[in-house]
Amino acid sequence: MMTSEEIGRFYKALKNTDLITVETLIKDYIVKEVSPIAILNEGLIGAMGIIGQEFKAGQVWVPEVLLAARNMHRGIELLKPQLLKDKVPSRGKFLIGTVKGDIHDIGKNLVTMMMAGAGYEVIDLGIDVPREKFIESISKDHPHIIGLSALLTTTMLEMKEVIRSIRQTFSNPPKIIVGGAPVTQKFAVEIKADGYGEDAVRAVELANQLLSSGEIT
Amino acid sequence: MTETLLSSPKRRFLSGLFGGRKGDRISVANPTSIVSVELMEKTGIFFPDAHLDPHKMAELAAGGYEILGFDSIMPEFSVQQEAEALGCVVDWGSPTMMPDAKTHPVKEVEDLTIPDNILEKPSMAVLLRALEILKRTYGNHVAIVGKVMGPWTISYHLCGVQDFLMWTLTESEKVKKLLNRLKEVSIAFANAQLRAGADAVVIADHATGDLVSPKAYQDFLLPVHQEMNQRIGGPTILHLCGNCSDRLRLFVEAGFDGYHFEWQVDAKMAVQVVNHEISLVGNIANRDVLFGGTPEDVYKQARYSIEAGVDILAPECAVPLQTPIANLKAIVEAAKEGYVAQGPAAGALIFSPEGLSYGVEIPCSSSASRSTARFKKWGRPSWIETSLSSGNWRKSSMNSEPIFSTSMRVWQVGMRSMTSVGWWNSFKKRSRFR
Ligand SMILES: [Zn+2]
Repeated sequence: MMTSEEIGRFYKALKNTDLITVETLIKDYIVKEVSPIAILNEGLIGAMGIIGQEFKAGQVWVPEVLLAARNMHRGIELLKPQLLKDKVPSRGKFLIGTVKGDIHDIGKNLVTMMMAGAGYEVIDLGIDVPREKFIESISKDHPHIIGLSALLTTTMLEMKEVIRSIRQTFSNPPKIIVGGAPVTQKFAVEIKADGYGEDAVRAVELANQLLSSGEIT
Repeated sequence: MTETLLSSPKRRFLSGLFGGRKGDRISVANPTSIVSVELMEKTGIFFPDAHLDPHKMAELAAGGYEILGFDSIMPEFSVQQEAEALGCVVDWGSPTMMPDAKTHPVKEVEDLTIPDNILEKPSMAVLLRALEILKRTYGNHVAIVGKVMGPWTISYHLCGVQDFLMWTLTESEKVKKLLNRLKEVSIAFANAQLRAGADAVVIADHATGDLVSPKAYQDFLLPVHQEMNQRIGGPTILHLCGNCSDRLRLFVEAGFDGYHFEWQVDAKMAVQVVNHEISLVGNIANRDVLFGGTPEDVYKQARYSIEAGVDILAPECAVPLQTPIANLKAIVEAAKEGYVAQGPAAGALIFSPEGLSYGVEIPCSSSASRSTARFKKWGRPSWIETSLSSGNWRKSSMNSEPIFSTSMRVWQVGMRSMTSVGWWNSFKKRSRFR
C-alpha cells in the first residue's frame, strides 16, 4: 500500500501546470518496480479522487480538474505498456455521449475525465450522438454503464427517446445514468433512467454503486 | 402615501437600474432572452431567422413587451453574434435550438484578427439595425436593452471552453492578452448599441460561478471590466451566471450599474452584500420554476425576490425555449401586486347551485376577469382551499356563499392527476376598485 505521503506526491503532480512532474513521478515508480496496478489505482486514481472531492466541496474549480485530467492522461499513457503486459482489467466499461442536438460538452467531458480518473474504460461517442449510434455501440462494445448528458431542455426530450429505444432493443440493457444542467432527479425517474448524477463526482459514485450492486456481470 | 412614478415601463426600468424612486411597483425586464417556442408562434417569427434579420429580430423581441408585458425589449437572443464576426463557423440552430459555434479557430494570440469593420459584419450589424427599429417604434415608452458578449465569453467561442479554462492555469499571460484585445470588441459594440438607441447594455461574460473561482475573476476580469465600464458611455448590466454568492463584491468593484443574477444566489443575502451600490436584476429560476414549475411557483419566487429588495425582476438567464408563456406572464402579475402584498381579503368566489355557471368576483385587479375566464374553460373545480395566513390552507365548502380570504387555490381532479388550476394571492384593494 502507498503511504499518504506517496499519494500526496501524485496529488501534487496532478495539480502541477507542467507535465514533467507527472512524467518523472511515473517513470520513478516504474523503475522502482512498483506494480502498475498500484501506481494506477492508489497513485493516480487515489489522487484524482482527492481532487474530485475538492471540486465537490468548492475548493477547486473546473480549470484545476481539467488540468488534473490532462496530467493523469499523460501518466496513464506512460503506464499503458506495463498495464497491457500485466493484463490489468478495467473497472468496467462506460459509454458516454451527449444526445443529439447538444454541442455544449464541458459537463460531459468532466464526467468522462472523472470516470477515466476512477479507472473506468471510457468510450466517448462525442457530441450530437444519434440514437442509432448508441444502439450500435452497445451491441459492439458491451458497456456496463451508459451516461447520457443534455445541456439544453430540447435535448432532454431526445434523451427520453434514446432510453426508450435502448430498453426496447436489449433484453438486458446496461445501466443508464443521466445528467446535465437542465436534468433533474424527477426527470430522470420519469424517463426511466437508472440514476441521476447532479455533477461529475456524483456520476462516478453512482457508477460505482450500480456496479457493486452485483446486477452487472 | 408617497408619490408614485407614473408607470411608464421605461421610467420603471431606469429607476430600478439606478436604484432610484421605487414608484408603485417593481420593473420587470429581461437582460437575457425570453423567447420561447410559444412566443415565436404568437409573433409568427422564428429562430433562426430572428438572429440574422433586423426586422424579424426587432419584432420577435418586441413580443416581450407586447405579449408578455415586460418593461424592456432586448433583441439579442443568442450569444454568438461576435463569434461569427470574429471567424467562428456558427450553426444558427432552429426554433428549438439555440445557435452554437462549431469551430474554435484561435489557438494562439496571433490567430486572433479583429476586422476593422467588425461592426458592419452581418451578425453584429443586425443587432444595431434592430435596435434602431425598436428605438423608433418603442423608444419613448419601453426600455430598449442592448447586449454584448464580454471578452471571456468571446474567448470561449474562439478558443473552446476547455482549452481556454485550462490556459487560465497554464498560460495566464496568453489569457490576459486575449481578454485585453477582445474587450475592444465589446466596448465598440456596446457604444454602437447605445448610439443605435439602447437605454442600457448588458455585458454577458460567463466566468460563471460553476466554472471558475472568485480569484480567477479578480485576476483576469476585474481590471478588464473596470476599464470597460469607464469607456462604455451608458448604463451597464453584468450577466454572469452560476452561483456567484462568493464574489458579489467584485462585481460592485467592477463598476457595473446592475448585476443580473441567478436563483442559486439568495436574493436577501445579495441585497445585503451589495448594499445598493449596484442594482440587482433577477432571479427567477429557469429550470425548476419558469420551465418546470407552475404560475404559482413563479409567483412565489417573484414575491420572494421583490420582498428581498431586488431592484428589477427578471428570469435568471435566457429562458429554455420550451418555457410556457403563462409562467413568464406570472412574473409580471406578481410585480403588479406592488412592493408589499397587502391583506386582508377583498375577493369573493361565488358558485351558482347548478355548479357550472359559477364565476369569480374580485372587485380589484385586472387579473380577476382573466381568472374567471379560466374557470369557465376548466369547468367546476373539485374543491377550493383558502388561506388567511401564508401556507395555512383550509378546504372551503362550495355552496353559493361567497368565500372571503386573502388567498385561494382551486383544485380540479383531472383524468390522471390532481392539479392546482388556479390561484390568487393577496387580493387587495386597489385604486382601480370598481
Ligand atoms: Zn446565463
